[in-house]
Amino acid sequence: MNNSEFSSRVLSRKERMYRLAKGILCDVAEAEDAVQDVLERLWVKRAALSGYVNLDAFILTSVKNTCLDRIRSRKLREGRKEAVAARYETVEDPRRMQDVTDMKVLAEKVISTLPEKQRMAIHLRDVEGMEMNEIAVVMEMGEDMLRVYLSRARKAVREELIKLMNYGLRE
Amino acid sequence: MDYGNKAKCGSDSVERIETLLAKYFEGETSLVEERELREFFTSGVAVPDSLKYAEALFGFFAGAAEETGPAGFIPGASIDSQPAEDRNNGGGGASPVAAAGIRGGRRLARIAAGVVSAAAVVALGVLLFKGPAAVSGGAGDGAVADGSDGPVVYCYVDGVPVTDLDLALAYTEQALTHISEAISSPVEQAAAAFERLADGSAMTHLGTLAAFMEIINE
Repeated sequence: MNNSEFSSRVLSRKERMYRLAKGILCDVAEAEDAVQDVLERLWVKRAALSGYVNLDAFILTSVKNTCLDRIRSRKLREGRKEAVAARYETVEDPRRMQDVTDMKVLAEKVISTLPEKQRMAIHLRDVEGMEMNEIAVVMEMGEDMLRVYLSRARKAVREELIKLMNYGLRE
Repeated sequence: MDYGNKAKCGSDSVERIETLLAKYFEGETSLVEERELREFFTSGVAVPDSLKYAEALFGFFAGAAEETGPAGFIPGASIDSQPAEDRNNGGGGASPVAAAGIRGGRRLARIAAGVVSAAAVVALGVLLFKGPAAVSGGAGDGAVADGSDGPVVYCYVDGVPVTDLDLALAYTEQALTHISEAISSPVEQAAAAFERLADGSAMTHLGTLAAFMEIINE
């Protein structure tokens, strides 16, 4: 794979790679780093990439695995509870939420507290608009299992959002 | 229910939306149906309180889909390009990755103090002048401009295309000067040298060089 092909088939995917990494890691700087790591590794093995039938899926799977590795080492360092608590620290008091923007930020925070696979399923489907069979390949699971993950994730977000928003409306 | 000043949504459409939502939470909606939900909740139409959570959720999805990464993530010479020509055929060995998404500060620690080979400097010049930079489509569809419409873009500085060759050369010279100044100091002092750099793109070019050196030293 020469430079132009690498550019058109790999680098052109960087925005989607970044969005996925940010969706999983919930941190801009870490997402940048993760994508850069993946791009460099893909560059090093560019000779082999031309042979991939589904290069797009391979690229996203690489991002997924890199991000999950980072989360694992993050957890070893901080412990999951602290990580989750840290993400909730900056949430505005729902009682003071006036507009849709605040509520969107709340939605983002709630999603960031989901387990990684659920978060990823929501991201690939609801943000990237990928088909179920494509997502199944990236997440390396069957479509039926994926549907379960997606349903569980969406319901968990709904429950948490309603809880937080009702708390605000009651005051 | 008080819908305020917004357009009222008819009870039929709310019923349809509620049906779709139920399907959505079972993970059974199609992409078309999900788009319908997203369009409804981002249209500005007033929604009943019971569906406010969905307005927040789909609003967030719509916003997140438009993210492309923080400004400066793909800094300096654009890599979303299919150059019409390589200015220097030796550019085949240079890594386009090195110029894509560099964070100079973090890579700095890995620069071996005082090691700047002539080849690396030449390669940097090549990276900066890979030829006309193309515009990539927002959806990552790899759309490419071949430079035949309008002026040739030599590189990007802080996201702004540079179409004047003399100006582009001047930026490169400036960047190379900053880089050699910075690298000739020990790594600890290099950080202080960077403080003096007024131009963010010079930091970027340093990162480009550093990343390139990592790769060629592998």
